[in-house]
Amino acid sequence: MSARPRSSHFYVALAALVALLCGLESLVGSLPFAEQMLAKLSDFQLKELETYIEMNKLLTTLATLAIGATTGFAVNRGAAAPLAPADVRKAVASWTLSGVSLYAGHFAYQQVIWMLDQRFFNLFYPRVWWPTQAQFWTFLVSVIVLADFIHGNLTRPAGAGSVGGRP
Amino acid sequence: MRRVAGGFLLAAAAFAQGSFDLSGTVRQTLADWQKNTGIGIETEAESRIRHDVGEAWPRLEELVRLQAPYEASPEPLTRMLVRTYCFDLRDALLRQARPFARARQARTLAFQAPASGLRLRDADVLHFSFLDFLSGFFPRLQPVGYLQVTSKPDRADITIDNQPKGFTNRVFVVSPGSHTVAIESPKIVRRCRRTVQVAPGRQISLHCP
Repeated sequence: MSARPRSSHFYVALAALVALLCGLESLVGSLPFAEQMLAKLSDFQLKELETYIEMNKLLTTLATLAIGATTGFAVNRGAAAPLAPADVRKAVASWTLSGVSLYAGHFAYQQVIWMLDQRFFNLFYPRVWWPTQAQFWTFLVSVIVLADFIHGNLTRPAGAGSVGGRP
Repeated sequence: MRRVAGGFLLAAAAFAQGSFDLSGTVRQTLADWQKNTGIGIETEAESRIRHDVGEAWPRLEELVRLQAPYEASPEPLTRMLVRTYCFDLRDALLRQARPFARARQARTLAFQAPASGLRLRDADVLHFSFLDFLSGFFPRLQPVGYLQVTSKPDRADITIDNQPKGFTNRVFVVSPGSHTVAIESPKIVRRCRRTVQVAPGRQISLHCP
């Protein structure tokens, strides 16, 4: 009986999240800009681009690892005893934030590709700057929530505070 | 069963296409175009401007049917005018900011050339699909505009939307819409400041003498 409402809630939340991300993408994509058209990138700009892509890749990798760590830890602890609702919330929050970080990183990457396609270059222009900031900060908060989730579980005896957990 | 039905409905909505009556928009656009270019165009009062469901979209060049009644028809000029008209129409539609209405290009334009100006007989201008509707939510998929800023003498400061953007002469890639451009230099007698409306895919040139 309880599985169906939970499943529907999940899909409603997922749809809301997708709508929110699309709305944000639309908002960021509609920010006005005016950048100089370039014939080719200078050495400094190439170095800037290289550094940026490196950081983008690093954050993407770390966010993927954070998702893996959250899932692995939740499954591992959940196998021993059902997770407490607070822990479930933390795991979901961490997972979601890491997912948003991945999305923001992908969006920023797409914007950079689009920018180069349109023959201008400015990594500080708003359509790249805000997604890049979102990628970093959502990842950071995700890691903090994950750390709290893990710390809370490791310092608590197994089963304590769990719903329906073994004493 | 409900899920399957919902899925079918969603798929049907995704591929649904509609048609819109744009007569009012076209009339307004023609009025603006006539005002800007000084070239007279008369629309036929009864013409309804529609695009029907599911029709294919060939290239503009293949679609422009010119009906000039004389041999030495200034076809290149007329084509240019038609093209300008199409762009203006598209811009007018974009300005309306209607999420469901986005013009791609004119499908059919038939002209007669009376003694004074051109006469627009018919125009099918709008195609709507769910994919167009979706792409409206992703402005990065829409084309940018271009702004060429020059001055004499050059190396005058350029400010666009109150942000310094280097020196003249330069070409900028800009987001479609309104931009305020200022050109300043001690060598230039008067300060040039102008608000321009940049349309997608088009270039506007600004020169400060």
